[in-house]
Amino acid sequence: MAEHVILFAGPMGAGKSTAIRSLSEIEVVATEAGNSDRESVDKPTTTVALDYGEITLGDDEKVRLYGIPGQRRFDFMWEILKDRAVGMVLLINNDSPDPLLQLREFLDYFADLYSRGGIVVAVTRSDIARTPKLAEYSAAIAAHTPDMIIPVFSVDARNTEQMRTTLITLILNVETRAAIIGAETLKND
Amino acid sequence: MTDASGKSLETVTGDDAPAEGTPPVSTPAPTLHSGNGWDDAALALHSIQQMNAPMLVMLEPEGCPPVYIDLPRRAFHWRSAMEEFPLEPSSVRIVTEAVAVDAPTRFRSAGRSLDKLLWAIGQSAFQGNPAPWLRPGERYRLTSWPNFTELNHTFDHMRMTAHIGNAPLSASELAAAATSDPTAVQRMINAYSLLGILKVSEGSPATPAINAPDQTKPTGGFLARLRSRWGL
Repeated sequence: MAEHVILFAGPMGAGKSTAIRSLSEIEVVATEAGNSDRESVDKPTTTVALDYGEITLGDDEKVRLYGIPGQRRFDFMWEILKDRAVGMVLLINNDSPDPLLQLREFLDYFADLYSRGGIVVAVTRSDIARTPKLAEYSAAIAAHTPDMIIPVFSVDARNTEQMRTTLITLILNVETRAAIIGAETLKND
Repeated sequence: MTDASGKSLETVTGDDAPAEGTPPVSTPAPTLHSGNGWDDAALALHSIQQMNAPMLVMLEPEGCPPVYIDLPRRAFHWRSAMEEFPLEPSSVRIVTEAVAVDAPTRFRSAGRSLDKLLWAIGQSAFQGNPAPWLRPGERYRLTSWPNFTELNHTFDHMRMTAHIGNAPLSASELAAAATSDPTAVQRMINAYSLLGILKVSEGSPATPAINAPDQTKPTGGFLARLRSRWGL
């Protein structure tokens, strides 16, 4: 079975579960984790730990969509999944307290995905909070890593067409970048 | 805001018109005489953006309602839907007005993203020839991706963008690398230049040939199969 893992990361409330529901062909599976970290998050109830959806491309090929929790206490899951991932849709809600700081934190953690072109930033709720503008996200990315350009789109995570555009862009960028690097390697050998 | 003939723009009413009057200032538009009014409009908009001066701009394509551009807010206001955007108006009247950087908005709504309008104008102007401010043979690279979720684009635009987002390419190199129509390539480059998301890469080495998976065929790769699954 060939599988292609796509991660959906971002802070709480950014729309990860919704984005996966917009793309998945199956009912999205949501797993829960008991809150064992009451010092950091004083919440007695369970927390959604992982969302899972999929797209079937054939009898032996699937796209697996994983929504990974935004809290750092779950970063062991990030570690497990990021090595298997083709790429990641990083969802950032524009009305969060410091969306550009969150952007930088996620880029730092997922630097290896980032270096192979495997990240697209999808900004949600920009109709509610008009700033920062998309250009500010791009500028923050450019300041963070000048040699890389990451697509930044405004999205409504409920909009299937927009989420498909986002996912297509992600895969297209990964494939194109890999082809360019491959061609450069051949040229230099 | 008035045009060179003294006709006041305050006679225009509706949500898309400025909410209050202003002193008259006009700028004579350069003329390319190509038969497509967007050529002049594109040249004027590019020049104004190069000046980096806060301005309001009114564009009035022949036979269409005027388009009001609020450059400081990167927004435009137009009564019509983008589906009604005229591709080749015989002329476009251009009126500009300098405003203070911190001047309050004249418009009753936030308007639409200016990128949508610049993309449409850039695609329509110059009949697929290089914009006058671009030099033949120079290589370009994106400084940021366009917001494809709001632009009227094709998959070919996305493919071309992925190439020019990852390597500096001239128009002809991009057409070859992406196996795209050279006219479509040039239209996109013109549009990206107008959007301000393109930089010239002086003296970049020639880019090696690219053997990317053929994303147009169902068997060409993961992406091609995904698009096929979605009927795209």
